[in-house]
Amino acid sequence: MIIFDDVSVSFGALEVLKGISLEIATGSKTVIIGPSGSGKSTLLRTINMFERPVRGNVFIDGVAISSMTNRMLCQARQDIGMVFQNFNLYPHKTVLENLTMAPIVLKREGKEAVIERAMNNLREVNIAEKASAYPSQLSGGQQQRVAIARALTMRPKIMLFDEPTSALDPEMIQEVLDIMERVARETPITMLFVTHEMKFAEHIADRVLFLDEGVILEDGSPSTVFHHPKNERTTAFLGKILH
Amino acid sequence: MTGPFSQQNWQTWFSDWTFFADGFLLTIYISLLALMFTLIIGVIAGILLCGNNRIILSFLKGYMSFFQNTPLVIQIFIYYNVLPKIGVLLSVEAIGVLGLALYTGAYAADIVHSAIKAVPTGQMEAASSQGFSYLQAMFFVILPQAIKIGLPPMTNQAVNLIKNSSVLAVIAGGELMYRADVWSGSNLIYGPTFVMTGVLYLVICLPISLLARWLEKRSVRNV
Repeated sequence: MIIFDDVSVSFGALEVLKGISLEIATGSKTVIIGPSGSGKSTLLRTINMFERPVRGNVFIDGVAISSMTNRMLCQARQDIGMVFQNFNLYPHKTVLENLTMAPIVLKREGKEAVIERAMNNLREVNIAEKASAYPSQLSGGQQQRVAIARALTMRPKIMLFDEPTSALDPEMIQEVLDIMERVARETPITMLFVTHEMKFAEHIADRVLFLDEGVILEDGSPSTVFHHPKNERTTAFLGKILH
Repeated sequence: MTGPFSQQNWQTWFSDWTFFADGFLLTIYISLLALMFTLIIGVIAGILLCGNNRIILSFLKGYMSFFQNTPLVIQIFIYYNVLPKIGVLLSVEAIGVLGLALYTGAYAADIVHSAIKAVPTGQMEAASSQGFSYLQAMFFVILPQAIKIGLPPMTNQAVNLIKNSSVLAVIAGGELMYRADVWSGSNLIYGPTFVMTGVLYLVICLPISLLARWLEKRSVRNV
């Protein structure tokens, strides 16, 4: 379980998250939506302490990740996978090495076991045939699928998806959404998505959060938030997104 | 043929070729050692320059400003003439290695620093998100990419270092340039001496320059 207890995050004088309190159930799939600058990426990045709260605490399974030492934080991050808008694959490593490096170096796992798991994950995202290619030889959609497999290979408890399809050409968005949907259905990993893909959200989310100006304005099932929003800002935002 | 390039002058020069060969080898030896220390200084200082410890940063800025903006020959004279007065007596070879490494290291630090900065920030984020510590991320993710970016300018610095080793002639360094100076002075044969000395520097430096140009072309293609 992830708990936000009155969490505020500021960039200089700008308060991006304003006293967020929130509980995310283990194994749940949560989609965070909201206009740009609403703080949705910041909310996601506060879970692995890429952004540090100026007030409040974030707890993961009862442990305050926001007050960990650097060493503990590195350890904790091994269990929190992240998929980025710009993929951020390691360009000097092959696809397979992108997946195996962290488990081998950080978790000191046996090479063969990691390679086997990595190949399984590459098959899971339909890209096993590119195992020995370099990221620069792949399309954006392929790179993002590799990035998902890379995060999975760490066997995380939590996975954070930060606008995973926003940097993709339109024709590649669906292949990544399909993969994320399949992974979301098959794994017990707690997943949070920041995305503008409403259909995807409707398919896989147990819960949708609508964030605006650093505050959670809606919190409910996809059908509630999308079809019966309480707040008119949500209605206005959804109107722009859906049409 | 008479004049500075007479056949006799050439013959005299070639009859003493081992004298120059020894200097040539010493130049290579000093340059290689200096280059090794240059790289060590450059990598350590370059990584530290990416941090935000103010004391370390101002120390490094001071070091780089001083060594980049004073003539190498003055630095060498200080090691040779001033250090012994405070009880630090170094051999000319040690002064050569130390002097060249500290001087070129000030430039190498800049190169490593810019190369690290040129690696997209997403790389550090990706590594951190997987649980790599700062130094682990540097070692496994950032530096391997920075090397590709920094290698061409670093190779140019290697050429500069080798050419700059000729400054050691002013403290009787025993290397190639010193021997050229001494030998030509005592034999009064300047033409062949300096042409051949130049050729010997060229023999080491030109391949390295060509390597730098090739690396540059390759890195542009790979972007």
